[in-house]
Amino acid sequence: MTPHHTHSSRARMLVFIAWRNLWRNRFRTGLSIAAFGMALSMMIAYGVFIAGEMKQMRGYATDLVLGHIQLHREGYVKDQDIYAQIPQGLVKEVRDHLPPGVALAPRTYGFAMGSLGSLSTGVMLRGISPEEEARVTKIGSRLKSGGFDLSKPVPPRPGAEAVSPRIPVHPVLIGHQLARTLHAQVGDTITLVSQSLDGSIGRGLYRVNGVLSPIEITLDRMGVVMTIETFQELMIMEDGVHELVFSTPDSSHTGPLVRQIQQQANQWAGTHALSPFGGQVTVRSWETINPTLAQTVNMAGTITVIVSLLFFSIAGIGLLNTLLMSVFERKKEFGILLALGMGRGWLVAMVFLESIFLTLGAALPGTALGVYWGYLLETYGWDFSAYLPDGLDFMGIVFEPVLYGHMTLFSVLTPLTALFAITLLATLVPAWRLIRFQPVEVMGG
Amino acid sequence: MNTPDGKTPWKSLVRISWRSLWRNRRRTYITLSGISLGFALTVFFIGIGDGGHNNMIRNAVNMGDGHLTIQREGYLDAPMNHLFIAQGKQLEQQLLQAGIPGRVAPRIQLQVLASTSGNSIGAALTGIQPETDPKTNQLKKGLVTGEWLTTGDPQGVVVGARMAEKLKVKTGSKIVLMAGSEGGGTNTHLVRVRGVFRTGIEEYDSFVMISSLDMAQAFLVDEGANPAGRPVTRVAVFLDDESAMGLWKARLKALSLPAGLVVLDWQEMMPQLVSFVAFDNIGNYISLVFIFTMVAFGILNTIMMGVLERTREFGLLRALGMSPWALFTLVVMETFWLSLTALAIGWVLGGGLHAYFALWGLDMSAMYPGGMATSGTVMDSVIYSELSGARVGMLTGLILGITLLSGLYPAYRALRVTPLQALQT
Amino acid sequence: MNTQTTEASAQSFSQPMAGTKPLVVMEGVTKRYRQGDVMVEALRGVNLTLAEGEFSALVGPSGSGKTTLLNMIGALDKPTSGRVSLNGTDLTQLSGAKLSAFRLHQVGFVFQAYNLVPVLTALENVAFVMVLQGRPPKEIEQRAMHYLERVELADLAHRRPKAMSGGQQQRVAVARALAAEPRLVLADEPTANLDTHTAFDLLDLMHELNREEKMTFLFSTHDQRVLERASRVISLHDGKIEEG
Ligand SMILES: Nc1ncnc2c1ncn2[C@@H]1O[C@H](COP(=O)(O)OP(=O)(O)O)[C@@H](O)[C@H]1O
Ligand SMILES: [Mg+2]
Repeated sequence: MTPHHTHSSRARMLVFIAWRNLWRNRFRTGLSIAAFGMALSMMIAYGVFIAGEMKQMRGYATDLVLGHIQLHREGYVKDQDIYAQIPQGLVKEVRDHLPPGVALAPRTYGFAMGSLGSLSTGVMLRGISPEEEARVTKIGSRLKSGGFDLSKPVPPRPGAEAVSPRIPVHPVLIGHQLARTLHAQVGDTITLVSQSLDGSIGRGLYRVNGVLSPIEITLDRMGVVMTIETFQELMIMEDGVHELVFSTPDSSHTGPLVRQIQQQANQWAGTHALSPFGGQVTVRSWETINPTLAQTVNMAGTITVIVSLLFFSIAGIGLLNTLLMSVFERKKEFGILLALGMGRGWLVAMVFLESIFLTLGAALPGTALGVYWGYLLETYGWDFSAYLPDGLDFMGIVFEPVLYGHMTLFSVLTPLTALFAITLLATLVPAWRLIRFQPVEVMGG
Repeated sequence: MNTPDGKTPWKSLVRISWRSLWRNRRRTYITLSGISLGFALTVFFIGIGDGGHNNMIRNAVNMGDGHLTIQREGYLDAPMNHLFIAQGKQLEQQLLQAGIPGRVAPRIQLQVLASTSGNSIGAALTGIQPETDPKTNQLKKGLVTGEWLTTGDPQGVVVGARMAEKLKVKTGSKIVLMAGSEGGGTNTHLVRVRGVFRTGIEEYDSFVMISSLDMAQAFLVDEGANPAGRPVTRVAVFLDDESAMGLWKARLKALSLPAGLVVLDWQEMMPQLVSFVAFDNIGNYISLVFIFTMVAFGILNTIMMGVLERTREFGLLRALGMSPWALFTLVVMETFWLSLTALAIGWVLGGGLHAYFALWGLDMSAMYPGGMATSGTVMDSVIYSELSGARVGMLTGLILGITLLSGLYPAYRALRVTPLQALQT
Repeated sequence: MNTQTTEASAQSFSQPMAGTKPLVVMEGVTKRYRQGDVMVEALRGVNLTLAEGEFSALVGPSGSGKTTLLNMIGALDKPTSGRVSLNGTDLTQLSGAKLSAFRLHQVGFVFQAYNLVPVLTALENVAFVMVLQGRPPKEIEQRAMHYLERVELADLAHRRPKAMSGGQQQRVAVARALAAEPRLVLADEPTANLDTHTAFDLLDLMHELNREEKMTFLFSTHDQRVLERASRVISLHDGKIEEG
């Protein structure tokens, strides 16, 4: 009889006994499997939900608001100094040397008083280049009413206050909350009054071509979006813009691109003198611009791990109970096995096998159910619009009230790993007790 | 002979059930530790959650327009500058006479465009009584340069630090304020910066401009108000005791306020905050459901094992003349003791956690250095746990309910034990 | 078979002693159990009369139907056919709840083992059935203590079963059965788990109580040695009472 032979046949017997033992107390085993399967599926669904939320947040932040990279003059970042402009030459230089796949959109910003009828409020102006903006952000697809077309004003709304046909009217999009504040609808004509860059008071009439869905808190509350040309006309701004927004296909590694654009800008600034005010050109990734948001997004993984471990520890206490009970009520049996010459190590291995079988029994249906829930979350989402009709604003960005899950290997594997870790940990206690059983105690039952 | 069935021996049932629970001590201890740990965790989650929400609400109330706000009907819908309260002084007097425990703050709130030679931005101009308004408390200590406002100053403003940077102004600088008027025109007034404050809250430092009532009233006068009546756009009421809000809302409504005025509580003023709290609670309730599911499984397991291994004993009790329902009651009672004990330990643990975090707070500044801005308010970066009596009742009731529910099946199994089962060897 | 029996030897085993009133009457009682696919006939037409005040032993090898018979009399189970009446009540006609009430007031049980509620003390165990009967607490306390004294266990009144020997536990069970004032005490192999000495002690105690309290006892055993204690021996074989 070779030792190898003994070992393998013993091991086979062990597996067999462990499996049988599990089914001796069907209720207990069934309950444990149900509890763990349930816990696992909930955790997987939770992980999918969190990952989805974070993905959505990140997507919102980059696709709708910040882009992946932004270029400003330092004066604009610090003081929103309207004179801190990016000269047209620099815009052209950067645009002409964009790496493949990277898109760019220029923007301008200003403030004005907006009024409609007897209602008036302060508004934030944003000048965009519609074709370029469409390549960088998805603002154009986020309209509550009206359309993104800013080439010509829509006809006036029937019943709206008449406007003299001789006065030019320019098309704009306005934020949803602003529309509410001004009681404005698509087809209305709003008046904007501003202090132009030359110090004079500018005034103009603007047709509401569309109302934007909530995207960004300031844009939603006070945003008026127009073409850069319209903006320049109202503000009497010669050329230049305030912001360049970039999108890149490789959004997770913005570092090299940031450095490349920065270098390009510095080079240009070295040969063409920048205007005296406004400071240096600065290029930043969206993570640098909104660090809290970036941090929250990056926390998703950590949150899933912590919550999984925490919740499974509670479930683990239940497992500990089951395993301890089954070990203690089988003291006599273990005594017999010991007497028959089965080493303690084998007994411990048997207990571990039992808990692994138990966990596997829970893991298979639990994962299946969890993945199914995850699939539902990913496909249909979870609609909170009853609670948050206007979306959820967090750190200045407004999120849609329908949250979609995002299934990743991580969101499935993390709870699964946590489950096995907790199970093995919980098995240590009965295993340790088993090693400490005195033969007398064992035989005496 | 027709004697009635055995009386339900309550005392014996209590005795047997309590002692049975402690027969398998190890099992009971483990179960107890699981339940009470889960419960303590729940108390912690709910305490921090509620603490965070209350913190957001208090911040919103304190920085906003109080627990109760009196303003013109329709102003909430469309804040038009001509919807002012003409007789502000009179209304303030009326409110002061009502004996409200707290503060009454008349205010003028206007959306203006602030321009200097350097820049032009939107601003929220708030006219207050500089000496008494609660805003003074919050902002005066953040004054970086210059002086706080004085009553009657017809030109002075204090501005947030970020706004000062954007407008490139410092103490003594001039700013032109422009507000829309009823006809669609504009009114402008020149103001001077008396001071600059910094709160660390972006919304405040970038958008808020404070003036005396006298300055802001100039815009209302443009709209046709009589300065003698001390016109305001609203009166904010801050209560010392936030729980008295409902009571005072009713009392203020009962006052014969001038026609066209409404009394609104903060929930009506900030419905999006109410929705946010409701939304955020969903997350807390989900973890509640999760933990309680685990608790239910733990209890079911322990009680069920206890029932299964005592089939003979139950058979004996039945053979001796105990009714099936008395057995059912016995098991339910056992479940009840288990959950009561778990609750006691759970409340000691959870209460301890709560007390610790109520006292020292949970520091989240690593994640939200300047607090978390959402739903028109901010949550501080240090959150103090809070638990209301209603919450304590809810959590206790839930655990008891869930425990009793999970005890039903084992109890039913006990009910079905026949006397004959006592005899099977 | 019953050479040592004294009084019973002259009697037919299935007939009560002359001159006493019948307490238990069984007529043509059969009991069939299904064991998997086969039907087991545990009792095949038992006729038996027990008189009040008797101290009878039911003997037979394991599997002969002793427990089944006792269960029929004790209203724990119903016969497949035939009639069982106790003190004039036809048990086969009673419903579940009535049976349970009947047991509570008319029958005392002493089982082979695990007689006592483990979490109750000796005194509480004796009191238990009286509590179920709804007797006044004062009376319960007095009777419980009295019967514990009767079985000479007054000093162990506050012990739990775990801390008592097998014989002591059986005596507590006897005290409990008697304290509830039943018409009849049924004891299913009460001595099976006891050593000879203790077994005899227990039987002596039961016999003594039978004489002094005029309590009717029916106990089963497969132990021939204890038969000398019985005043009447009923022999059971393959579900039938054997004459002679
Ligand atoms: N609940 C039952 N189900 C099936 N068979 C039973 C049951 N109870 C008893 N029996 C069978 O009936 C016969 C008589 O059993 P029992 O009355 O327990 O005998 P004894 O008590 O004399 O040992 C046996 O063959 C036994 O296997
Ligand atoms: Mg038997």
